Formats: sequence, structure tokens, C-alpha cells
Amino acid sequence: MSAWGQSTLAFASLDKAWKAFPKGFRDLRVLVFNTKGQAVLHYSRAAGASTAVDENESAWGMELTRSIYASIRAFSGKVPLRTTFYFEEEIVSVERNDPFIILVFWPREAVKMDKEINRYLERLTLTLQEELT
Amino acid sequence: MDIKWMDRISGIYGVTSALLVDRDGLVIAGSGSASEVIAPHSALMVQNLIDKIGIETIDKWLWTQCETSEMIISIANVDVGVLVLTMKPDANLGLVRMEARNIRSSLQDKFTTPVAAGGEA
Repeated sequence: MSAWGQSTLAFASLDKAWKAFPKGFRDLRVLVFNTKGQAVLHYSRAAGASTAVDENESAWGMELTRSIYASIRAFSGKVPLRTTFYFEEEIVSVERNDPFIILVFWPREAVKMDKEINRYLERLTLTLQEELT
Repeated sequence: MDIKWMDRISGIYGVTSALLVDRDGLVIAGSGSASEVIAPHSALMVQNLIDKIGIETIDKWLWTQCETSEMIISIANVDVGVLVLTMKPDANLGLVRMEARNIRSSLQDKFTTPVAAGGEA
């Protein structure tokens, strides 16, 4: 059985947020964990259609997040608020917004400036907070 | 090791330290006021990060930045190792990233074998 929860409301709201994004940002994948590291939601849209949940990616994202959180806590004594991974083809944002940790995968070619990501990330985070709490 | 380029990056406004850690977690060089204090933590952090990103993805990973309420920690893949930078929240992040990209390119040029004429890049 899938570990991923279902939230029709959150999916509908994410769909609405997704439609408002510029075309380049629409290949969007969002993972939401609670602060205990348990999966809450996986939303995935690409080229206008919902795509299958990739549980390997989810597990990888969660492990990466856990690792960087533990490292940064040991390193600085503080919990990270926002972490961004830049890969050649993709940017992964990890946003802590209690009680959730939100991972968003952005297509790299769509992102010209970091503030674009931050703007869309804030919109997504707000949507998720409204629907999931 | 010549660390002039590390002095250059740690001299950018807001950067408090720069450390070069190899992919096995060994600190190779450091620059900046806080570098000795953060060296052991950096080594461990780099090892954990590389383990989690995974060997298949590591070459596609360029840069990670992590913001806390008090500092920004950036971890840059410079191919010969990983550059760990600590910065104040108001650091000139754009300039730091540009410098990290330059460092990566110049280290690639210095340490990778030139491709023979007519060969594939």
C-alpha cells in the first residue's frame, strides 16, 4: 500500500496554482512531509497531465532532506528554513514551513532568477498550508 | 596547494569561511576567519551529502544553498572536491555563486585531461 496520503482538496488547489504558473514552470512535482519525516502528499504534473507517483524519488527526497537537516543542525545549531539544490537539469527546493517540509522540483531551464522560484514557492506553500492544516 | 582562489572567494562581502573538502571527506584547504572551527563539521556534512545525492547523480549536482535564521551555508561541487562556504545572511550571494562557477571551470581546466583534436567533448 502506498505511503502517500490523498488530499483531494490539496490536489485541486495545487492544480489551480499550477495553472497560474508560466508554461516553463508547469513540469512540477511537489512532495510534502511532516516534520517527523512522514509523507503527507505527492503531487506531480507534467505536460498538462497528472503523472505517476515515483516512490523512489520520494524516498530519495526524504533521505536527502533528513541528511541535510541533520548536518546543518550539527553544523550551525539551527534548523534550515530553506534549502535549494541546483542540478544540471533540475532545481529542488526544500522549504520548512511547520508543520510541513515541502520539496518542489523545478525544471532548470525555466528558472532565470532565484526570486522567481521564491515567489512561486511562497504561493505553493501558502496553498498547501491552507489546505492541509 | 595554491589557495589564492579560496582567499578570493572568502574575501567577498559576507563570506566568513571557505573550505575545500575532497569527495572522501578530507579537508584539503581552508580560508577565512571561521574555517578551523567549521572544518570537522564540513567534512562530515560533505560525506553525508555525497552519500545521499548518490554517485550516479553527483556529477550533475552543481550547488546547494541552505538558509538558517543566522547564516547561509553553501556547498558547491567543484569536481576536484566540494567547496563549503559559510556566509552572513546579507552576503553577496550572486557574486559568490559566480565565483564558485569560475572556480569549477578553472579547476576542470587544470585537472582534467584535454580532449584530443576531433574527439568528443
